Amino acid sequence: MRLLFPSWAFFDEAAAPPTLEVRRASDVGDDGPWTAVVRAMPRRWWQLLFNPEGTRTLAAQTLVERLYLAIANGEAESDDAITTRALVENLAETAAVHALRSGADEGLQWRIVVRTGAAEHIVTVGEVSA
Amino acid sequence: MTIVSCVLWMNRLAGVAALVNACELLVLSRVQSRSLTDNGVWRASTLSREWGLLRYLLGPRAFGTMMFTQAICAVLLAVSGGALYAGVLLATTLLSAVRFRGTVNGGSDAMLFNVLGGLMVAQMGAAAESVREGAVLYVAAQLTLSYLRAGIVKVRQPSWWTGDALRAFLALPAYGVPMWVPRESAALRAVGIAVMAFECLAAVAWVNPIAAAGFIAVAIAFHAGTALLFGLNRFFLAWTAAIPALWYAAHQV
Repeated sequence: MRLLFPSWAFFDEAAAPPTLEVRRASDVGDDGPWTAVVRAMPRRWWQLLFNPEGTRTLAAQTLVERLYLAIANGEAESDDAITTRALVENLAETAAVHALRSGADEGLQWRIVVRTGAAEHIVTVGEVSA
Repeated sequence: MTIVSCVLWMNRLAGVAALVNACELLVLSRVQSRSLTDNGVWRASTLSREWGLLRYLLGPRAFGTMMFTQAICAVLLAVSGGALYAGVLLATTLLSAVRFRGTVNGGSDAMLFNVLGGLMVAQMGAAAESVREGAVLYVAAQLTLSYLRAGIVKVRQPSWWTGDALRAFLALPAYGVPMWVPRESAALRAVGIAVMAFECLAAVAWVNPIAAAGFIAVAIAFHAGTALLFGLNRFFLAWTAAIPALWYAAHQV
């Protein structure tokens, strides 16, 4: 129904955006730094028409924002939010391959954080995965 | 502008938009580890339990075939038009939105869905002239509403008047806005107010063709700008496909 009767309320609120970050995590406490992983690549003029990587990046950010909104609205346990969380875990896993070049013996951890000025609000932290 | 030439141009532009959408998803599904299927983010193993019987259409291989079909139908719609091709594209656009739970497509697919729905009705063989006109005017109304609604919600946000809203969007890494774009408060304030004025004045395009021509010129520049600066190429293509309907409406009112 959203396709038939969309809200068209684009870019309405300018709140600080949630950011997905990943880090290497090890059993001995030697964790790596948090790294933001949803970042757009520099664009060329022809990407005015065709921009698959940009489309993917925006979709990834939409996923992060959906999970953030579900948690903020107290709906983190809904079926929809559980699926969204699983997709964010997939996103962290695929993005970490590029961002961290993680070794096979290391674990991975992700979190969603919102920064307003110097303040940092950790929205949720994922479990360490192998 | 006649209804025939309006539908002709909408067919061409909607065909290009649907072709780009299909090709983007086909490209992404073939990039290892960052793909939209197989081992990627929207992998079937995570989502298939939501799909029910649609899993036979939305699995990696079937979805690839569906996007290939969409690409072919998009070319045929652009070249020869017809309710059948518009209908097939309507269905694949809907299934694509289900496949990715609306995240890959969002507002741009909503607009393209409306355009394709209008085109399908407007080109049905048995449809009366009034039904054809109604279908095109519906698309024009949705296009106008899209600007008006977006403008009204911005006007209510103080951050759009101060430039803080634009600053926040410019800073979002996912948009990747180039660093040469000015970020001074005065410039952001001026652009923010200009965007609100443009969106809130959308209904003026219905007054007469001259007002419509002016609004359409600004709209195309606006969408091209957001595509280049924010990477919103799908919005540019989908909204452009609806613009002939607004031009037609301006000649009827």
